[in-house]
Amino acid sequence: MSDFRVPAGDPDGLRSVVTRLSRLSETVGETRSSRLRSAGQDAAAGLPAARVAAFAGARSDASKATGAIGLSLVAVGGALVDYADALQTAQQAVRDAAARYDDAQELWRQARRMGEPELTERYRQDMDRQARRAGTAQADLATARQRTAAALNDETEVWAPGAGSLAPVEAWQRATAAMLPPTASIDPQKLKELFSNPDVTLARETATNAVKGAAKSYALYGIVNYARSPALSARAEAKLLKARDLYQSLKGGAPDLDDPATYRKYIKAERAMLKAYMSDNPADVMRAQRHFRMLRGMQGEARALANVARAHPALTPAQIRGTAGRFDKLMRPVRAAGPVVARVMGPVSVAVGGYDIYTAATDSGMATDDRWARGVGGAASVAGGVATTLVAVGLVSNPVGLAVVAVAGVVAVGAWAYENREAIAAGAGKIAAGAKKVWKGLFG
Amino acid sequence: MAFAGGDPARLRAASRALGTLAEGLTDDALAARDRGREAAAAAGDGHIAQLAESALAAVGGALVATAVVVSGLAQGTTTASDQLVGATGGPR
Repeated sequence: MSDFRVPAGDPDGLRSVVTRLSRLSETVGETRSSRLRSAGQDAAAGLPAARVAAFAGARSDASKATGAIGLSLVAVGGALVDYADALQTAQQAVRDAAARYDDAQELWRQARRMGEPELTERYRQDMDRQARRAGTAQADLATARQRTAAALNDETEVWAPGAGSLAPVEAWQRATAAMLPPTASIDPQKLKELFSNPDVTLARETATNAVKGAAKSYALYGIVNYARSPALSARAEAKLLKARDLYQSLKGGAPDLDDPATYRKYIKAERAMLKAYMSDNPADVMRAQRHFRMLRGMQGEARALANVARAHPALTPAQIRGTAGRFDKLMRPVRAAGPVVARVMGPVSVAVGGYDIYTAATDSGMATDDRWARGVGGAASVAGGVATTLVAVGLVSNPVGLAVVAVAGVVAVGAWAYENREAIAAGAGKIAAGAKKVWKGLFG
Repeated sequence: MAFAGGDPARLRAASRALGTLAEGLTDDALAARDRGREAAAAAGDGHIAQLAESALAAVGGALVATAVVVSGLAQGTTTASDQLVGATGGPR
């Protein structure tokens, strides 16, 4: 049976969406990524030395994450424009076939009335041909529909595994939850409201409040990037498959490499494939490499490698080290000094932090607020110094433990203390006496 | 003394930049959601409409999470700046 129904849809409307998606992908993948990098560098440059290592690891991954989101937007745009093209082609073909079928049918009726068997047969064949054209157009669109559905489903899977068949709001909720640790979880109902509410202020407040509930920003940052490895890995794998397909299709077509244009295209595809291959790491390899980069600054290459190898026994040392970056050689002297500095500076930080606590507890000439500021700062230094020392001597090597011990505790204590400074000041007298006893007990 | 180095003013500036960035990422999340709805309206096919809206909703959700992370980084940077100022007795 002939299907001359023109497929529904607005190809130009879809292309307009793709144009706006393309701008959004540039904003997220390039502008935001670049600003995140530069603001991260500024923050790292302004941080006390003891905190830079933890911050720097997270900073280097930040632009990668926004870059991956930018690529995802490009992929969705590519799938939609593919469907828009197929839809437009099918709509035109079906309309054209339907019009020609109507013409042929009219002629066939006339020929039959006039008793012209040859013409009748010819117009009937025309009618069949147009019906087949419409059928082919519908089938081509169905193929494009499958291709587009697979591509869109793949992108959903990257950010919200298993959400392809769910309602959009559930994909939205799942993608957010998948990337945040429980300490920073957003109320699912709030997320749902965010999805249906056009209020930008509400959205901004939701993001800010989620963090206030956690107050563990650096650890959160490190852990989220660590947890995001599978998603980034999936993107890398998708890129590799695409680049490999392009390369293989060129190679399989026996290209004429004497032709400069073909040669350039071939080399470009080969490089893209190799580049994608170099960055194609399964999730466990990416995690191991991230873990290794976090540790080696404080433990040295050999010890960090041994610790990571224990956590990832299936990986070779080369896989754990990963590809040496452009600045790898330049940074070797700095990394070589890292473990020594960490071993020395950890205890130093504990000592001077303790001194600050002691000063805060004993110096009655200072204002109460300042004494507490110094005390909190001292506590932070002690915590940071302890964490640095633990990592340097190899007692802490798990990346989540490292992030939590080295930084989250410090920031959480500091943030809480500053936010509740007035209330704390009220109890200052009682606790100061206790602190004096502790200091004397520890250091005489 | 207890902090090896550190620049509170620079941290404040970085915190402001990160806070603005988090707001921008939130706006991007809502834009991705809106593009999903527009794509669904233009798709014609119900299955493609649902998948397009879901894919862009998932990307939008990822952007919300990124905004939360960057917002956290901004707040943490402010806290670090406050701690530095308090510990060194410098001006606020």
